[in-house]
Amino acid sequence: MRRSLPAWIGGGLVAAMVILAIAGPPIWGEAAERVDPRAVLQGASAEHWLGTDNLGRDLLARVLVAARFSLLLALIATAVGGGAGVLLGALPSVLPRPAARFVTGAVNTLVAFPGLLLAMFTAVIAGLGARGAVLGVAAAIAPGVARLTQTLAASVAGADYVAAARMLGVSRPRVLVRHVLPNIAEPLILYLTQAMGLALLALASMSFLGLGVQPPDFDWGRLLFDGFPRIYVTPVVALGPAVAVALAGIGFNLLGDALAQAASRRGAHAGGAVPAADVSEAGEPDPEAVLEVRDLTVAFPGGLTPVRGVSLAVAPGEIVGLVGESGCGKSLTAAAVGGLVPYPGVVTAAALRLCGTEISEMSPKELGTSLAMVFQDPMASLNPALRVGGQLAEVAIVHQNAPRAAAHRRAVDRLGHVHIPEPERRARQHPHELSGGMRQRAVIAMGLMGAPRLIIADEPTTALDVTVQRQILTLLREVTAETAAATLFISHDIAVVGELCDRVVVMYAGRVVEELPAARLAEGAAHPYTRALIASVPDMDTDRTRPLAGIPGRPPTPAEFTDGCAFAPRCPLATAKCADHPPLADHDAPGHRVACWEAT
Amino acid sequence: MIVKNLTVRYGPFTAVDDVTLEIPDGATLGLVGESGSGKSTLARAVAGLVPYTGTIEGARRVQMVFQDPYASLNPRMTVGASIAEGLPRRTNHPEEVARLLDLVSLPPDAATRYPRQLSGGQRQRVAIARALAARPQLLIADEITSALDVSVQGAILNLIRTLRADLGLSMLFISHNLAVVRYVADVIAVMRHGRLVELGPAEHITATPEHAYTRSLLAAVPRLPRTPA
Repeated sequence: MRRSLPAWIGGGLVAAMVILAIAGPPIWGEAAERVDPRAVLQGASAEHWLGTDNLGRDLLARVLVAARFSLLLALIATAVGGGAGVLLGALPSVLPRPAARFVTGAVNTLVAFPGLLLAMFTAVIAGLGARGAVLGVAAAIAPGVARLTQTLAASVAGADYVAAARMLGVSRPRVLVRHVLPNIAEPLILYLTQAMGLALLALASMSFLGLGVQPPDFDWGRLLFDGFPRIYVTPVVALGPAVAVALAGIGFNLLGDALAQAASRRGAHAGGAVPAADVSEAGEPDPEAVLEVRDLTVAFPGGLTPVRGVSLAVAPGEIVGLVGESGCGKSLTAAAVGGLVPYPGVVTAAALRLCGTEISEMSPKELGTSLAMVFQDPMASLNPALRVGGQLAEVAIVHQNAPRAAAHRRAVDRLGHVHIPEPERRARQHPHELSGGMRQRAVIAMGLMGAPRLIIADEPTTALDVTVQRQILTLLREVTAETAAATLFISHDIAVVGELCDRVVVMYAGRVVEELPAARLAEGAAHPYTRALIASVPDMDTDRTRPLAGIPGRPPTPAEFTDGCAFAPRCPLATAKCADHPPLADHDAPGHRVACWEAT
Repeated sequence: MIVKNLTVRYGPFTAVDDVTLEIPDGATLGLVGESGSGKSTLARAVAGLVPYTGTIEGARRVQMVFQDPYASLNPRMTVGASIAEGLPRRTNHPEEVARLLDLVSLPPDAATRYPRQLSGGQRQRVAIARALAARPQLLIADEITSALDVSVQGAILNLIRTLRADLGLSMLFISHNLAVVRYVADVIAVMRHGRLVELGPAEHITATPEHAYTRSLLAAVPRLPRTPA
């Protein structure tokens, strides 16, 4: 993982402080306590870099030795405050409702108090000295931790595994300890690291105000307190401990920041970049195809190639279904066509053409007007903060330089065209005011703002109810026929694909294994995978008395791809020949091609 | 198990409205309906996870398997520990966990793995084993295959049917997929806007639906085009 400069500084400072706390007292302990009546209240000199105090003790040695006590007090304060906070924050999820409410209310009230006020108040009650100061600072830290614990615990408490544990009769305290706390530990620890820096500063402040450590003990705050009256005469005696406090505080804060950033970055992936297609051996464009993909490969660093040599063509007014299970490369194939393969993926293809033009040579504007994309989650394509009509109009304004009023009129017209009732009213609404099916219609309408040559629909109905799915499928069919666009329809549901599409391309482990007219799916499928896929899905005619035909094993991940037929390990027909990858060969009917040595 | 006049309200919104139905011992009731029809809320009420009015009789030990196997297992607990949580006290844990894993066709060494090391289908098997550990009288399956790949879905459905036959489990099987419900359930209940609109034997409901809404649901099920041979 790449670390930033602040992270290095923070880590370095904290490490240095810890080493100082461990090694300081044995090395300089004696010097820090040595009373020298001849060198009382001196300024900086070669012998005493930071001067001496009123008993002639060397202040540099005292600052270095005080590291242990200062850090120890901060650690105890953080531990006590953190412990109390976690306890207070966790209690509401264990206690009966009225008591839980009381604790929540108490924590909310405490959060509203200024921390230092709370600390001083507690310190005064608990008595002057290190113990009082530590308790005071702990009291200042606890409400914040309690609040954070409560919020985090509430988010985990809604998880299915907590519901499952409750149904299994696991007691509330046990649910808390086994299910909730381990899953919120990470952000809590990050928070406490930063709280440690704050505790250090707060303790120094308390000692400086005379409420903290009392002589003969000393921490940085106490040294500052002792040195402060002399600040106009010999400023260096106060600056020494001040610098130490500042460095330690900055160190812990930077480290906490860096840890929090690292934690939030984990799992997030890098943004997209449009990769260039390799156009070396392009061959002659297919004049009849709107979309022509030849030998498309998508590779990622580390030798992973989730898409391996995919070829397909879509004619005007035709809907081609791309079907396969998760991880088979179908969505990545569509992304490659739209130039949306995420960084650091590399796209290569012998040909990747839209209406005879290489997609890599098209300007973003050209691509933007000739390509419409519909995704599974319509909210991914709609900005929740903007009105639906405005977002549609934007397409015309940006791509066609249309005047604003005309663009808006066209937006309303397009919304009506996809059968959205009351298009004018809907155009003025925000996406969240529309139902799921209506949003998906709006996305399709957005694609129809221009004159799309190609429509890519990636699982557009997976999140929808069956009746709404039916409507969206009908609409897609209608739109394809009317615009004479080519439609590439990606789905995991072979029944949906069979019903909607003209032709079906079946993918497995990054390769096309079969390509056939949709009408032949039910009875004419030849590849053992296609057949198994159809057999494993129950439909309304499935015999209820017999078990469903399953496919043993699971699909390989891109890391497990081999050169041979990827389906062979799960295939009942596999022979020694399957160690070589079978080519996509013509089958007995026109437009039917199968990649299998044994298919009959 | 008998549910009588069950109503669940969230503030002014009525999620389940006066539902009465019965699941005979050892039978599977399939509950279908679109999103927002109240089918999952009904299941959560039967499981005791949401407050309700009305009565639920004869469902003392209820366990539930959830839709998303990626969210229903504690990521910080091993499979064995997750399953063992449901076991009654004073049972030989390792032996019983191995038996349950075997019941859902997982190897015994799966007990030492963490959920992230398993595939979606394997996780769903673990969730089923965990539910079975508590020896439930009623098992609620809430959309248990909709997050899975189709080739895995078939295996899970087969597992559910085998378990029902072998253990004599009563089951409340919820799905928006009518074909899946038809395959698994003996009786089908159709819900809409929190109300029960039709209830009857599975074959009857899918062959000769009476309610217009059931008919529209059936008509919307995607089917592979079959050319006359």
